[in-house]
Amino acid sequence: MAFLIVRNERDAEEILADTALTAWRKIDALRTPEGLRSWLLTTATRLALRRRRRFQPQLVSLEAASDVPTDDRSPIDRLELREAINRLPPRMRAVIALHYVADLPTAQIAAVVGRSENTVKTQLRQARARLRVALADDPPELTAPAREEPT
Amino acid sequence: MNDDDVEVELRRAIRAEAYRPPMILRPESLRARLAAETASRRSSTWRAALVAALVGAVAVVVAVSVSQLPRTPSVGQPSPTDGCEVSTVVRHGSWWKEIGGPNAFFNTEPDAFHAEPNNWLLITRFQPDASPGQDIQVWADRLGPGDHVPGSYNSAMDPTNIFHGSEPAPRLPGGWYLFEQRFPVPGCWRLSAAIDGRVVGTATVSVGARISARLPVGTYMTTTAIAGEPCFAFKNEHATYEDVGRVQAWSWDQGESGDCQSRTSDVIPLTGLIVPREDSGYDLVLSVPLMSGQDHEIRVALHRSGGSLAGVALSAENAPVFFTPIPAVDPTFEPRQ
Repeated sequence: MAFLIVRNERDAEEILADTALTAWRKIDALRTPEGLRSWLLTTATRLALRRRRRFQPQLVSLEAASDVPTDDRSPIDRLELREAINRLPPRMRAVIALHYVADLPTAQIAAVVGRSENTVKTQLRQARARLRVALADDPPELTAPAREEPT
Repeated sequence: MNDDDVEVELRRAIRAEAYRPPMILRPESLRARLAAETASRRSSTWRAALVAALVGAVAVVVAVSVSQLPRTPSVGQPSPTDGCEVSTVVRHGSWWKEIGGPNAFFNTEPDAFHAEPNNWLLITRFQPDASPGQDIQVWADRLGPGDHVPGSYNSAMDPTNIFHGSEPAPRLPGGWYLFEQRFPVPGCWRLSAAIDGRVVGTATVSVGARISARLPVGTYMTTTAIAGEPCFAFKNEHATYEDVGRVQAWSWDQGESGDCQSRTSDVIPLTGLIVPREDSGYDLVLSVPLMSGQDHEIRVALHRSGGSLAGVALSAENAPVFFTPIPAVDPTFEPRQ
């Protein structure tokens, strides 16, 4: 999930390690065992959002790009999707990750990312729309900058 | 496909993308973190200092020497090195500069500071590094009057994350740490770094009067986007502004590499404002158009950093902003990746 937010394997691995250590150090602060998953997701997401991005370009060689696993059952072009996710602002990527990967309800996502539930719903709607536009066969040229609505 | 089908496919594809790289919890990574955390626990007060710095400091001035541009002298002000035997700068690689020694070095130039109620951020390299469990400290003493200002530990630093443009910091040995240090009044100051109370490195710097009223002229680009904000650049044509001034500006979404040297959107021309502040500094205000037709305001308190610019994003939780001087913004630069 962290990889979906930071878009960099090394950063994602470091966030995984930081999350594990944070959990190890602060596990006593967890009041109920049922809250563990949500607590870990919150920790990982906040670490990912706080992380300053690395500067090294993550260029994908043509050979590597051609090795991208494809899912014949899916009509969605993985490379297109990857690029579309990269274009989303980090907080919107976090919302997408928590919704599609962690399956959290919007109220819980709001608590994790520190925004109102309405804001999360709006971001989710905008992200979906942007991903769908990007994944359409003939995506329309955007004439205005696609920026996230500030919250 | 109907909407539900698209949603199902989208979910499947996003999950596949999320789990595309195998994420492995590596023992060496955990060991490195534990070592870094040991270092971070050396100062029990750093968290409070950091919070105070973020809350209290409208302007955290960044002392990282990120520029090779010559410093613009301030009109009517004495040279900051007058009467002060400052330390000699040692350059490593093409841009990394240090002063001090013999076993602790400060990444700055001796005339990079001005008197400032807020903290400067100071990268300090201990060579050799402190051992786990040892205390590391930095402080400043004003020579003559004897003022003593303790610095505060901020965090351990990973030098592989420090860049000037696309050039990384040199791989110098030792432990790298970020400290916050304040120089409340101008004068000749000695910076000291110590391990368990034993001084291992000193440097002498000349702290000038506040000079933030002068901005460097040129085109400046954010080195990396502030979280949730676009990359931007602006062309500053004047060192001072009596009143609100207009500047050419541009914004774009950062590239896949995470820096501002590539992009994933068009370059949008903007009009920016330079707004003089009451404390004699300047704010850069940009209005970025959103798809909704509304505008999103970015406000950055600008500060000189060496001969270049740094700043604090007032519109983004006081996040530090680093600028890189560039010849011009080329709207066709680095195609989408």
